[in-house]
This record gives sequence, structure tokens and C-alpha cells, in this order.
Amino acid sequence: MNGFDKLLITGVLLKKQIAVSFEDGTVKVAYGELTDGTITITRTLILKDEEFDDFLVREKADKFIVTCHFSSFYQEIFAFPPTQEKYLKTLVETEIRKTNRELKNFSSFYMPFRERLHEGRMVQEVFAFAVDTNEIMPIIDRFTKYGKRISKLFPDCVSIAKLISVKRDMAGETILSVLDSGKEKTICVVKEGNISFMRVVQSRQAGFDEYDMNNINMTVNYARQTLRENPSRIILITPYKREGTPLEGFSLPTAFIEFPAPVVSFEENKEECILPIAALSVHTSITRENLLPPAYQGFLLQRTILTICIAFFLICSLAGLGYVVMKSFEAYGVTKYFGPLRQEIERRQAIYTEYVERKRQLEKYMPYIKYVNDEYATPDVQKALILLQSISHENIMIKEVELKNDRQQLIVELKGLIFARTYSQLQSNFENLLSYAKKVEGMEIVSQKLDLKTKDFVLNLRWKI
Amino acid sequence: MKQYVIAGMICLFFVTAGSILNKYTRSLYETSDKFQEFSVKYFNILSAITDIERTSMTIKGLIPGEFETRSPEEFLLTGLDEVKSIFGNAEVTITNIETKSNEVQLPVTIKAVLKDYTLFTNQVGYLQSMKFPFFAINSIKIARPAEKGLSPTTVEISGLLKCPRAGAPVATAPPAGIQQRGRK
Repeated sequence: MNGFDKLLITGVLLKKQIAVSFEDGTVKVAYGELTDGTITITRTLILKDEEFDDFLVREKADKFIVTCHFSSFYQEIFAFPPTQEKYLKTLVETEIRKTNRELKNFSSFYMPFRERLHEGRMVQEVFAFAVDTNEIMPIIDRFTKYGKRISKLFPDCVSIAKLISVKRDMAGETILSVLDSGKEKTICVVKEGNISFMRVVQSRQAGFDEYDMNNINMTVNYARQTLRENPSRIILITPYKREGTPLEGFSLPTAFIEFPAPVVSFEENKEECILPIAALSVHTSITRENLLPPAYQGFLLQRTILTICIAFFLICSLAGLGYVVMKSFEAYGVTKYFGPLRQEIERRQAIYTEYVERKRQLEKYMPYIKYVNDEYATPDVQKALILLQSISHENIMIKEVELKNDRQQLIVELKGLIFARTYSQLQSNFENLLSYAKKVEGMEIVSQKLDLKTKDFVLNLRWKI
Repeated sequence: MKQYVIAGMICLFFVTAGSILNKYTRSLYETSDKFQEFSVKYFNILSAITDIERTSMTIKGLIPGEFETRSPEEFLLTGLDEVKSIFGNAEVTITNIETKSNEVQLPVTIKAVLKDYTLFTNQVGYLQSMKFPFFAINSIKIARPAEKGLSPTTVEISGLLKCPRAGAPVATAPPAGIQQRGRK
């Protein structure tokens, strides 16, 4: 059966999603899309259980939200001292193992629903739900067999509880929800999306008759007297025809479930596929209620990482391809100029050969070149002798000149006599001599000595040129 | 699983190909740069050939033609004869020839009367400009007599006449020009 239902539920984030609900021998499928904050149910299908495998083969999507009515499960209410949220999961699992020895491998969730004073101490009451892994694995295997994966798996009662909590006019109220699964009725006490009590009762037929009403009314009384919960109304959820179902006879105001926002669709389609549509509507708020085993979740994570890796590889491949093309053009552009350059080099090779040959010949003379250069690098003695002439002036008689050549510089010693009548004239003439010496380019006075008695002087000079 | 391996291999292929091409283009650029460099060096080589030619001509001009055939001692003694002829009546004293690893040396002392200072500086210039053999001046002493008129001014030049040995160890100096000192 095909249908085109449109649900407008604002504030729920959803993109293209497919929800599958396993219900009493049938499988119901709903396709949803998110556009501008609006969920559009584009298609619904109702399949026989044996047709579902063919559906999986045909379906291109590989990710599904699954809701299920488990035939056997375990549920209990535990009371713990106020505990941090992170420890609750472990505590609940430990308690489940303690209270139900038959459960070895299971998936579970919990819903803390209230805190109350018990025997003078504050306790936190938690609703726990567990399903044997053997109950879950056949469902997972059914999808895995065709390369499909389940993103979330939760019981139908959870999606109903969450859906009721979205309704604004029921916020803060305690509601008794009754889910009609044909010959079973699942009765839950729900408050703010959390289940505080759940009961599955046998029924004579689909829909609600007097027998069911009695069961529901007894549950209301049980909730009031034992659980101290006071439901304000009853919400009926049935995928079967609503017509003919009497709403009188219940001990509380009773109504059929309404979706939280205006619905533009065929009402019967919405009723028939209420559970997958509910699952699509609330799946974003399902976190700890997800019953997928940790090993499978790890497998999904691994697969997601690998998918990201593939995407990364493909992006790198594309970038690499672009780079290869770019570099190929670049290389072609460069090699294009090599031919003329090679020809030019070959043409000039003769000159290079001549250079090598001449250089080789020159090497033979290198020791002599160095020898000659070393010899001529010494100070020029002839020039020094010529320059020394300029020092000799009137009133100065140079008696002796001695030049010593240490190859780097000339050490010159001048000895002589100054003619003067007075000492001041003597000093003046001596200073003139020093100034003459200083004027000589490259000359440096190392030491000086003037004998006042004999008027002899000794001048030691250093000359570098 | 197969698709992951294929995707990985494709990625690896392109990354490797990109890396190889990158290295290849880099080497192409390096080669291109070397080609350009060679073009520039071509003109430097032309210039270097001219320099080498000039240097070779100069050194060939400096080295006597019979340098390879005659012994360095012969050159020293020829040089000594030149020194004696330049200084005329001077007293030229020599000691024994000393042989070093790459040269031979002859210590020379020249004692003379200084008559003309300009002539003397020219004689010193001549000594400095001698080639094969070379004259290395160690010291010069010019002394005036204590009292004028009693004795003339004397000069004493101490130095070494030296000549490199043919086939001496090759020096590793760059091909540079040759310094020259001319006679004044």
C-alpha cells in the first residue's frame, strides 16, 4: 500500500530517513524527509513479514530506524539512592542480572522518572527495560544480510511515550498510554517522555472491548494506589480502525493519539502506520533507549569511520588527479625548451673544452706564479729609501739608517744629530723631524729618543707598503 | 571491504604519482636553471680563457727559456755575476748555496761606498726586480762616518739570491695575475 502523508512537526531535526516497525506479522515502513524544519512523510508501506526481505533487496537506502514489539522482555522498577547519571547504566544492568538470572546477554535502557522519600531516605526510582540479545540479533541479522544497517532500535512503547511528551497540552501530565498490538495491549504510565510502569495484557481482539476497558481501569487504580501516580487521561494508540471503539466506560478522559502538529494527510494512512511515523518523529530524542548491542554499535562506528576514509581517499584521489594533470602540463612546458638549449650547449661545447685545456696548461705554471707573487708581495725597499730622503732636512744630520725586511713590513732605525743653539730649538727641530716622518705614507713611529747633551736622536719606524 | 582497499589504492596511486611528478618537475626546473646558468657562464668562460692566455704569456715571458734544462745553481751564479757587475767595486761576500725543498738560496752581502744616493736606490731597485734568480733583501744599513771628511759613507746590503727548482710541488693558488716590480 502506498500513501502520501505529510506531517508537519516543527522543532524535530530529520533528513531523509526510513523507519521500519515490526508489528504482529506485518512490517510497516515510513519514508520521511526534513525540509525547513518540516517532516514530510513521503511514502508508507505495509508489508507481510515474508515480503520484507524482498523489500530490503530492492531498497537502495542502507540505514534504517527500527521500532519493534518484542515478544519477550524484562521490565522492572528499581529504587536507588540519588546517584550520578553516569553510574546509573551500570547499576541498572547489575540489578537486572541480580533479579533475573536467566538473562545473560541483554540490551537494556533505563528511564529515571521520579525521586521520593522512602523510609526516611530519598530514593531515585528508575524504570528498567531489557531484552535478550537473542531476541535482537535476528532483527539485526535480517538487515545485515542485505548490507543494510540499523541506526536505532527501540521498542514501540518508547516512541509512543516520546511522542506523547512532544504534545504541548500534555506537558507535565501523567498519561496512561495504551498501545493496541492486536491480541496484546501494552499499557504504560508516561510522564514527560519517561515510562514509570508498563504492563502487557492479553486481549480478545484488535480494538478495545469491555474486557480491555476493565484491564485499563484496573491499571489506573493500580497506578494510583500502588505506584502513587495519578494519570489524568488515557491515550489510545491503535493501528486498526478507530470507528466503533467506544470511548465511554474508561475511568479517565480518553482520546486517540494525535500527532503533535497539524497533519495534512489521509487520516487512515497515518493511523495504519502510526508506529513507524512516530519512530521517525521522535528518533532524534532517542539516546539511551537505543537497544542496539554495543558490539553492533562498534561495528557501525567502524563502518562510519571506513566510509569517511573512503570519502577522504576519494577527495585525495581527485586532488591527486588534478595535481598530476597540472604537473604534467608544467613538465611538458619546461621540457619544450630543453631541445634548443641542448643544441646551444653542444654548439658551445668546443669553447668549454678549450677552457679546460688552457686551464690544464696554466696549472703547470702555477707554482712559479705563486713563487713570483710571494716574492713581489714583500715591502718595496727602493721606495722606502726614496721616501726616507724626505725626512732629511736642514739642521738634521742622519748618521745611520738601518732597514730590516721581515717580508711583511720594514723596520727602520734612524740615528742622527740635530743642530741647535738652544734646547728649545733642539726640541723644535726634533719635533719637526717627527712630523716629517709622520707625513711619509705608511710610516709609523714606534719609538723616539733625543739625547739633550749630545743632541743625538734615535728614531724607530715601521713602514708598511 | 573490497571498496575500501580499492579506494585506498587509487588514493595511494594518485598521491604517489603526484609526488613523483612533483620531484620530476622540480628536477626539470633545476636542469633548466643549470642550462640558464651555463649560458651565463659561457661568457665568463670566454673571459676566463682570455685571462688564462694573458697570464700564460706573462709567466712564459718571466721564466727563462732554458729554465727546464739548466740547474738553479747556475741561475744563482749568473745572478751573482749580474749583482757584481751592477755594484762595480763593491765587496760582495757569499756563503755556501743552501738547498731547500722547492728552491736554492745563496746568502749575499754587498758592502760598498755610497757616492750617489740616487744610483744606490736604482741599484736596490734592480736587485728587487731580478727574476730567476730573485734577490730578497733582508736588511740595508747606511752609515755616515762619525767625523766628516775622515771616511766615506758606506752601505751594506744583506740578502738572498734564490731560485725555484724546476718541477717543484704544485701550489694550489687560483689562476691569478702576476705581480711585477719594475726597475726604477
